[in-house]
Amino acid sequence: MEQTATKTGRPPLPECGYYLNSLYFYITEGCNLRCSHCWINPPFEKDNRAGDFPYVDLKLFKHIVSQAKALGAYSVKLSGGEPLIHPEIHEILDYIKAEDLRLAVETNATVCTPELARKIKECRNSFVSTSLDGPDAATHERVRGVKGCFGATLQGLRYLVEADLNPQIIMAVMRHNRDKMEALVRLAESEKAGSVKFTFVTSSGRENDIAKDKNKTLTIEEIIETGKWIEKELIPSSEISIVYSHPMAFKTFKKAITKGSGSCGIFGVIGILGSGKYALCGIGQTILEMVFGDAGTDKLADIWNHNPLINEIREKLPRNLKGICADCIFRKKCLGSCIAMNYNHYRDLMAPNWFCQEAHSLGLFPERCIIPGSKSEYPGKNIG
Amino acid sequence: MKKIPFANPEIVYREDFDDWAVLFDPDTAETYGLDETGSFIWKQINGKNSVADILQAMPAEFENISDDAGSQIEKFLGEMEEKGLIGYRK
Repeated sequence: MEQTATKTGRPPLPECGYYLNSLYFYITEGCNLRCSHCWINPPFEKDNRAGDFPYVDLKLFKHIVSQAKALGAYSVKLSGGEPLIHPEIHEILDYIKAEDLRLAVETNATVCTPELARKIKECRNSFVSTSLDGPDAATHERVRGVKGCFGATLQGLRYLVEADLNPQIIMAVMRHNRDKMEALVRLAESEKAGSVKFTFVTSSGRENDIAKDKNKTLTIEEIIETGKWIEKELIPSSEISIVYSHPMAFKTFKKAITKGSGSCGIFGVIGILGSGKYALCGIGQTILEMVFGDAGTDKLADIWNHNPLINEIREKLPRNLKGICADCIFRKKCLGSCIAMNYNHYRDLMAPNWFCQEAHSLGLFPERCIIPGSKSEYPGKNIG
Repeated sequence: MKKIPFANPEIVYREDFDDWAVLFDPDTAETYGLDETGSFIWKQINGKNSVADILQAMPAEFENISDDAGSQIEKFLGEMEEKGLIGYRK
């Protein structure tokens, strides 16, 4: 039977009962920086060209998007590697605009130009986040591994600001730059960025240099305390919007309810790797069982509707979440915060959020979020 | 006849330091946020207070009570009843 569009303009609900809302494109495996904490750990491309490494070309990009729109997709996120070194990035942005898709871009901004910034801005509801790990070159470049990248990122950020994109600056917080957080906010204010987000690098099962040295990352206790400091002192001190990556249980109730931040988007998202493979998200680059098929040969509708792993997640989440997540009042909103990260840590799809579980084992999980009478137990894995 | 709201005894109420609170329904695992006013009203729902009693208690806690506060409370209670968070005694 011929399918017809719904009154809302969306196509009919897919067979599986879930719309595919957004495509997370890790459009190139290449990156022009060498970040010490990167969980995807892409190959380094020193000449700012992605062509030497697998990437999703324009033809395949269009092929995927056209199938995704029939499943309800209305937005794309471009990440990498570094998406702006993709050899066809201009054409991809033109296509996103022509298809009237919402756009989010995660970039280091080092190769951003006024033209790229303008093209991003011309897409619907475009949003850009840019990594900056300190307010000075020494702090930032210690993390990013390439001399001169601080100045390049700052210049790219200015192009994004001039294009009226209100870019978000994301700082990966570790021990060496923890004391620079406030200075970074002041820099963001002076550069007229739209917001600042703090994420916390941990030693959670990541096979990279930072993860192997626990002295370089903050402990669970320090991360929790830093979150409280952000909430009580840093946020009130600035006109700029400041957010941080703690799971929902560690946010204020007002933020958890009204912002909904920290929730896993798993029910409406699929990842596409630079190799052209479909995956849960970027985790497919390092964990092969999270790869679902090949975009060049497999139909997206078949994967979205019938992949056993995706359907297992739909069937079990959040009801079968384990450990502290089973006992948390926010489990239905939060969905474990990030299924990929939890799987990366425990190799269990229904594993609890690793941060919450470790905090709980240390007696640091907020009591106000635990359902009365709960006994959350889960095999511990000492981290932090 | 006065309608007296009472709280579903299964519902878990939790407060935060920022004066917001959360209601958690163990049956559905849904959470509902309450701002300072909603939280105050929830605490007045004891199976004895009517809407008029709740309205009467508000000036001790809040300034500038609006003229239509009574109907706003009724609307708020109606939404909570729809969600199964409260019931009414007649």
